[in-house]
Amino acid sequence: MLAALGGVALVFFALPLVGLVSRATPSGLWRQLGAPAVQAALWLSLEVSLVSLGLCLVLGMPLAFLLARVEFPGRALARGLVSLPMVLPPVVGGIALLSAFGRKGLLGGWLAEVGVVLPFTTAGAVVAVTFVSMPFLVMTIEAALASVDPRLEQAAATLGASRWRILQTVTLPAIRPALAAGLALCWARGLGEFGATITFAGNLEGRTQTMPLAVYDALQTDPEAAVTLGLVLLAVSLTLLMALRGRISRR
Amino acid sequence: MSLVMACKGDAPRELKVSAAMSLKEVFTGLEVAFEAKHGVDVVFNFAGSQILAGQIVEGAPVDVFAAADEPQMRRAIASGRVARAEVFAQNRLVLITPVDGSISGAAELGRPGLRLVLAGPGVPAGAYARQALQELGVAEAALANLVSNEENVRGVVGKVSAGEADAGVVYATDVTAAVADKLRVLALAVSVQPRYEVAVLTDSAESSLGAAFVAELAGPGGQTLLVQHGFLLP
Repeated sequence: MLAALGGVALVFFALPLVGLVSRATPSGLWRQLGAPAVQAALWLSLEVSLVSLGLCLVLGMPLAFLLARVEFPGRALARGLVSLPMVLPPVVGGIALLSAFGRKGLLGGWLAEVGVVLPFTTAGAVVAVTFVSMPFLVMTIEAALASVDPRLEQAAATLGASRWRILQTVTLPAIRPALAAGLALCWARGLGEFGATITFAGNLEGRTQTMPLAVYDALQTDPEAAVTLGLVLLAVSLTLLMALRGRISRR
Repeated sequence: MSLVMACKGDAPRELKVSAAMSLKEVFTGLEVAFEAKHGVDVVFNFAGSQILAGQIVEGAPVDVFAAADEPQMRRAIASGRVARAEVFAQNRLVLITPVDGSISGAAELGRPGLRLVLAGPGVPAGAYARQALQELGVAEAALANLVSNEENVRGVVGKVSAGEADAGVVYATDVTAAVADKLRVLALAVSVQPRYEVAVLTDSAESSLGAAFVAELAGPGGQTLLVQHGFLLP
């Protein structure tokens, strides 16, 4: 019974991928990879997702610590807010971003004064991807922090370790697998981001057209190209994910 | 609910109509009367014609296809699922700006820093818009200011009416009541003439109902509604 149901689930995941692969040809794959629009989308996707991953790490780690370790009024609400982008339709996320950071948004006037333009720019694509993917990092790390035995950290403190040293030698090693998983999830979600990006940042080759947008574009005019692009995206994501998870959790 | 009904044998008859995004108001305007007259449930699928044509090529169950341009109908014909199509409406292209926008004509579309939004080149509205800019001799300068290729023409309306973009080229009929007060509409003196084609799919199980729908469109009721919404008759 277990094997049968599990097998059905596995086939359910595998079959669409097999279908995708069955439609691609090696020559088509090669030709598409050489196309300037594809290369532009691929590099832009890497750039946007990596910058966003960095932002998620720098901002998301402290947020995870805050949520896991600091009692403050409205913490439950803050947790809800952080997880909201995970369940929000990304297009709605894009509209929400426009209403905050768009030209007519809440901070629009102020942003324009300091010379920051987000809609229709690569920076805007980074913001959209960060908005949608950071929750995956924050939630994973917060859960891991909550399960670290506080006595370990207390013991280190009684031995005279500074807070920074405790973090480095006790806390971080304890949450390393979760950190790896969170980074991988966050990055994967970012690489696949579509709705918030096209809504908030638009769709222009070399500037905001990341791989998922390029796939969607291709689907409308050249379905074969869409299949190949989809496979490329799949291969890149899979390789990066496996490399990242392997490296960090081995350490 | 519809999933459950789809499994039952006594489900009401259903006419599946795939139509270009710009036809939304007219087609939904025809819906109630047509359903009452023929005792059928009309189900619409509105999207960019290029998406609908792609779905038809992939074998999606569709009874009637209404496309915003000839190339997309040609894709459906090439798939073997459409034998012939007829033109039932025409449209005009206009330049739109936010209501507080600063440009007053297509000649200014090349102004440095301007943010122009068009439908993508594969979308009928985007293809027509590029032809129009070409005809006006401003294509190169204007396209240098292009900040986004939207997936359908209503996406262009959305970006401009939200004030995020400074200009866009859309169909005259896209300036609906819902957005009219947020937009300024400027005429484009071009000969580009968007033409809408409709066809009943040859493998449709409801081909006579489909033909009735097409007849309704081409008949007095449909044509009046088209004109009311700003379309031109063929």
